[in-house]
Amino acid sequence: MIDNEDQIIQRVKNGDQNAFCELVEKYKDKALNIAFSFCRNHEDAKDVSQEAFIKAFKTIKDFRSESRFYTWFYRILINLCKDYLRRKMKNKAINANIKINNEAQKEESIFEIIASGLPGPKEQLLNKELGEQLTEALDSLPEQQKRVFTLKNIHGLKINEIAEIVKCAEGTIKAHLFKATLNLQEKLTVYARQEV
Amino acid sequence: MNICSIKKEELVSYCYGELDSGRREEIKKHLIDCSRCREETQRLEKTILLVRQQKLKPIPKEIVNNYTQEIREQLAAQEEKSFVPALKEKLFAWLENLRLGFYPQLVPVAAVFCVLILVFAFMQYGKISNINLVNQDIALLDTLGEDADDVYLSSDEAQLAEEIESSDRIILAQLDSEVEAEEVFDDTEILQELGEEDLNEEELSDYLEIIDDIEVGSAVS
Repeated sequence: MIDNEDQIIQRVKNGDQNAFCELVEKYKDKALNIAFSFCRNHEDAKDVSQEAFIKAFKTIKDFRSESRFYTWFYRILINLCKDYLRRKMKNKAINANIKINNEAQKEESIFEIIASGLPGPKEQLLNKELGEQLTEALDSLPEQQKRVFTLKNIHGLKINEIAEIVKCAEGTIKAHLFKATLNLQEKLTVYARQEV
Repeated sequence: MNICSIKKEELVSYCYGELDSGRREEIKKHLIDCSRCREETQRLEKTILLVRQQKLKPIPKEIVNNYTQEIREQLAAQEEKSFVPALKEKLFAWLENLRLGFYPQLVPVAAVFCVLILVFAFMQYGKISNINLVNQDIALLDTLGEDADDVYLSSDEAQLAEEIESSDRIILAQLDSEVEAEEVFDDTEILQELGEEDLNEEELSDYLEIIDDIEVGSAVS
């Protein structure tokens, strides 16, 4: 499988756009989810992730097969997400005095709020609340803790892969994960005590 | 009081199942004895579980549809766009190289070179026009079907004028020598008549002067 991916990458390096589209098909869902967890807007997540793919195509010659393609690609994606958030913060500061009621501007929860399929209305409400609280708690984390925790617990990457993506030592990643988990626990004490 | 040697980072790796089996077993045993680490691990596991139980919001179909096709189109558009700037870049690089290779002290040399080229071109043009004239004449002869030697060619104009001039000079020279020879002959005849054939040059010239005077005198009379 990986050998096959190596061959595809070699074709991409020779300028084969069809080969690159094979990689896009393979990683587009992951890329969209990661971008969405930062942007909280599906349209923006699409734009940022597509931009990341195009940048990856342009700079594929810099990719050396020392690491996996997706860790290299996620690094590009995360950097573009960071740029996106910076721009967003700037715009927020500019529009601080203007109240925006536009529905599209609202940040969405990263979790699916499941109301149906749960035994009673109490559980359904609890689950809905939990999704919203969790999103809020995640947003309140320091940027690096949030990034590392999201990549680990929401996107399921390994600690060494996260270290490669954010260019940090594995020990630092573990420290961030520990602190982020404790911070979340404090914010979700009510839910953490209960059996969900 | 027990001194705990386990680092918190190791507990994180334990919770995420990212320890090698040997180390994992060691920590497992440690957790039985160390209540502090056990509690810490339980708190971590609970929060992780809480987050992992949540499902990510699904991506809407309209976002996923045509996703790859749009990237393909963007790549094609960028490739098209990048052609002109690349060409421009090459041109600028070439001009820059040209600028770097410019030496002001070579300007007079270049000017002289240009003048020489112009002179050479002018001369070549003259030659070419002469060749054209000859070609025209040959074409004329072909159409007339006559021998080239008997026909006056416009291209021979200069040569012909020169030949005429030189033949004129020969005729004049001949005429001059004939007149001179005739005069000498006449003088000799007069002297023969006078019986003074054996005169030397000085005497002869004296006689000739006398003869001239007589002739002038007779002409006057």
